[in-house]
Amino acid sequence: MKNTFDIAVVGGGHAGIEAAIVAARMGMNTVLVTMEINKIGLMSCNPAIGGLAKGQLVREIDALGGMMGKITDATGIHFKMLNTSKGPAVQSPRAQTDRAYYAKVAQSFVLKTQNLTVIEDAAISIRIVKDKVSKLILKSGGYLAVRAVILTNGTFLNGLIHIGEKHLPAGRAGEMPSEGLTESLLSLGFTAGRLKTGTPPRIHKDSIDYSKVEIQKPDHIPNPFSFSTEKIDRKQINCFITYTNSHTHNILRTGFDRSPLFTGTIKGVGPRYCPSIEDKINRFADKNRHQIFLEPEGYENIEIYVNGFATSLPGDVQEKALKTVPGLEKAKLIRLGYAVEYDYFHPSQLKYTLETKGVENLYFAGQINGTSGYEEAAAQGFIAGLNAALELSGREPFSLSRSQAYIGVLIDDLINKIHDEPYRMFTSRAEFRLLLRHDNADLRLMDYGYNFDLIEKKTYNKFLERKKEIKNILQHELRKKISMTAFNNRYKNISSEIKQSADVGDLIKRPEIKLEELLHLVSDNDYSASSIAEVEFNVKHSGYMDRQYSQIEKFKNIENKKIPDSINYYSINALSLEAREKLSKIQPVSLGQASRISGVSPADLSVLVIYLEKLKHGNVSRETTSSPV
Amino acid sequence: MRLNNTYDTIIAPITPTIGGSVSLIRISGNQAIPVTNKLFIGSDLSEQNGNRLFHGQIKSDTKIIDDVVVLLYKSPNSYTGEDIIEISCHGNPYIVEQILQLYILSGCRMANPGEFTKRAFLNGKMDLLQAEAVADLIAAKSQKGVQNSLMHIEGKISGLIHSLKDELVNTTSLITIDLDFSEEDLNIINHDKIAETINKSQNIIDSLIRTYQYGRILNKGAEVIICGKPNVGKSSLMNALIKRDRVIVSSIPGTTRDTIHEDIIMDNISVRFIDTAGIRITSDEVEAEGVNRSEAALDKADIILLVIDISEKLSYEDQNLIDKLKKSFLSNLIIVGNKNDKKIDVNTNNDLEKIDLPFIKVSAKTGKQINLLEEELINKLKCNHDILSEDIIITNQRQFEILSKINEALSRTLEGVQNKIGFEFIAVDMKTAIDYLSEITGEISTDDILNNIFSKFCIGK
Repeated sequence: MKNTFDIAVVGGGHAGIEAAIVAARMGMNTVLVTMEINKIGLMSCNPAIGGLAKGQLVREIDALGGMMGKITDATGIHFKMLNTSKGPAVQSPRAQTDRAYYAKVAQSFVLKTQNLTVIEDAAISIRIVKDKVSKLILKSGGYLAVRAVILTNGTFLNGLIHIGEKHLPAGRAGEMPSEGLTESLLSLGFTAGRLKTGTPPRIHKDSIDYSKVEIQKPDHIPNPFSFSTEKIDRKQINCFITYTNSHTHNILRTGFDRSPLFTGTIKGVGPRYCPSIEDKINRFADKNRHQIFLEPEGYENIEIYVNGFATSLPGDVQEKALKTVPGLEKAKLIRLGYAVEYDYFHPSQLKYTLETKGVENLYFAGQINGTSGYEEAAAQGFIAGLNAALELSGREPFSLSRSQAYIGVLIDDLINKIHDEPYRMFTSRAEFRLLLRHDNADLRLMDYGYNFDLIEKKTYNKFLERKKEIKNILQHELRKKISMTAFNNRYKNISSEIKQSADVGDLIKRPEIKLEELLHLVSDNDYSASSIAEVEFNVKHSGYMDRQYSQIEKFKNIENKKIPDSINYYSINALSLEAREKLSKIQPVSLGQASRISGVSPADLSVLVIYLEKLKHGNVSRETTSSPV
Repeated sequence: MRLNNTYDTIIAPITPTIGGSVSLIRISGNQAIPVTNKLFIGSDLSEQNGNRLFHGQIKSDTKIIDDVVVLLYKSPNSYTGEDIIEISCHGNPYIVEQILQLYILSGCRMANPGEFTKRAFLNGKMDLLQAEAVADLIAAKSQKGVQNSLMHIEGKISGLIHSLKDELVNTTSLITIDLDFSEEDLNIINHDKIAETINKSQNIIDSLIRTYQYGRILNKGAEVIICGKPNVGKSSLMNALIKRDRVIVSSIPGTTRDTIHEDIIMDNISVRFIDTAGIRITSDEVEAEGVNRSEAALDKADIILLVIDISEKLSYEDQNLIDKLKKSFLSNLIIVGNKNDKKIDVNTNNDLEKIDLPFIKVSAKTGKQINLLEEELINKLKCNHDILSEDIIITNQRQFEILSKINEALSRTLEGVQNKIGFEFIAVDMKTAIDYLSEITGEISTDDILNNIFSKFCIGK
């Protein structure tokens, strides 16, 4: 068997898929090491992609040339745009997918990628020569000689599953955990922690009384994730909504004394945001009901995912409580909910490229970095794979800033902040969210993907066409005048009258006026809805956009103040001890990054500003700039 | 822990070099003690504990320069956090110059303006607001101004700004969390709640902004202009107010040709009274010059006292002055009805009572009711200071400007809230306000801000 590769990717989840495919497409001889080929792309939890802020991530991955959007479009069974009651900046696409089919499509993408070999095995340790990756040791006894390794082990590192008082080592239900790798990394000097995540029970779809649950319909016209997808014509099916009640909560409480969460068996910290049902009734004690989504796992799949009911309580309690929920009185449990605990590595040990600071050419991506969610994992996988390839070919590294993409926010948060729970992406994390919309991810990022040769010509042409349309609307259509009579007749009783003819660009600032309607009045051109929406948003909210842009300018100002390598922070006495420690550990590349490091105070930052200023003027004795001992 | 200095050693006189009987020279840095040991005949300072005085002589080669007292502070227990020597010598510019030369020849350098404070700041001895307060303290012209600067140094204003920021940050996080959980029926925050927070914050910011004028007066002193047509008793009024006979009092109209000023302390505020040549249309060219100067002075004044002789009929010229001044200086104008000791012209009195301006009747000659005028003056000077508490006053222009920007951002936020616009937009304006708040405390500090602050110090402080 051939055992020499440029890049080895360990793990075939969402991070692994993106990392392996992008690395191979960038010309690297790549190998994907996974325990079972037919588990590649298998969703351990809810078979859904996207959601608030996560939908933006998928769009961004797609605009850069990643896979997740394409696979979702090919396998989605229930597309729904979320937050439609709010503005475009906070809407996000989400899709329920066919679990089995998603994995299958993902596998076919992996297997047909050139330069990409898949090996069924498990990695147990990494060999380093001169602080550089050299070998990946496999469980089967062999090894791979590689120039770079990307670890995307998900929840498998020393995975431990909890169901009530039962605890068994596993990466996810029915699969072996990955053992040995953590210890290998610890011996290389990395620091690890323990996190927990959970999944709800699955029930048989024929055991639900559908007359007692609300129907949640998919969108009439499904909105694709990928900019390359023309249209989604797969059959769309319903999801359902029901609610827990105080009876349910009482039963769940009877199991608390056997809950691994409350008995202290689970040492890992769980997410605050995607909490287990026992967590929810414990924390929101005054709420007497919680929403439950019943989500099909595929057209043919008999399993229904009980979203909102993640639990690690004993099986008997899970079943009894579930049966108090309207519609689920006769629910037949196919699989119990469980919690899984796993090792993760503090992401402060990474650079913006997701390469580790300690070992050259070793990258971490996905849940191994303490994140939660497929989309977060995929985004990291893509960035790690791309950068590993760039590094090995001697090219400039690639990273995105907080003002460019949710991906930028994700990685910046990961490497600079202290996290005590799994990190999930939220709209609230992105301070420049007005700009980081799902519907302009292509405008923000596709040129990067194209320059890396990761975007098909056809898709890119479509993108250029869209840019041309937008420019045309902005430069020509908005300047056209609408006559007083045409406008006043059309908008009688809808909008206040105009006294003389007016520019389209001025009239659409009125909230009640739609650009599309005005274009009909002044133009014969047929513009795509997405181009019109882009212009409309920017013009209607130009005041806010301008203010957001000036915030970005301010942000860039401090972001562009670069900090030279190897500053000996311990020699800057004016810094607080905590700041010295944090700055030494994280080695920020800019003042902006330094300002976001937990533990670095405003006063520390001022000190740093002046120190850098002095450094620039050669005012600091050499001894303070020498590298740390 | 002893600070291991990475900066060079700096020196500067910290008292005025001319005019005092004693001068104080400060040296800060790790060479302060070794160099002093070379130049000082007395004790071996490196062997001594800090916070002590030593008597001896400064010598150059074999020549004694002066008999001095040396104050020794050891790092980190000093103003800058570094080793500090302060030399108290005789207040002769020549002696001071010689001592400075000796230190500079030994490797020290002259401190830049504000550099001692800058080092104190850099060595973690104070935060940005406190450092600014030091600058204000040095420049403060009144006791109240000194107190206020000390208040800043203690960090009271930092506390207020921080709690304001916390409040806005909390609200913003609720707003953005709502964006993420809006599909769940959690009702995290609503427009009314946001409006409430913003109103509250704006009230605080508003009153801080309103303290600025008063704060400026505390630091720089107030200017009170005395004007009126000739021979109504402006100079007598000034003398009465300053209680000294200095301005030449004459009853020939137009005698006081220049603006003459006199500083006094009133209720802890330094007040400068300026007597102007009468504002009148005149063909006298010498006087015309004085008139122009008066008008320029009016623009700068904090308070304008318009003096009118109430024993006479209100002249066209009086009326003209009232109209003119009222138009431009409504909020800081006081009408002083002088010659209250004589028989008052009833019509004049009635006319003046009718005007919507403070009107005080006094006699500059006898001093009758001058105290009422003084009270009104002090009230006016403090009028915009209605305030949070006596303690917190904005004195610094940078802070004032940023506070105004915060106010602007909050007003815009409120406008959006009232129009019930989406939270994602409201969050943009909230962020602007929060960013500015961070600028006040130096959380988002750029070198421009810092350099700007420290360059405002006078040499060596």
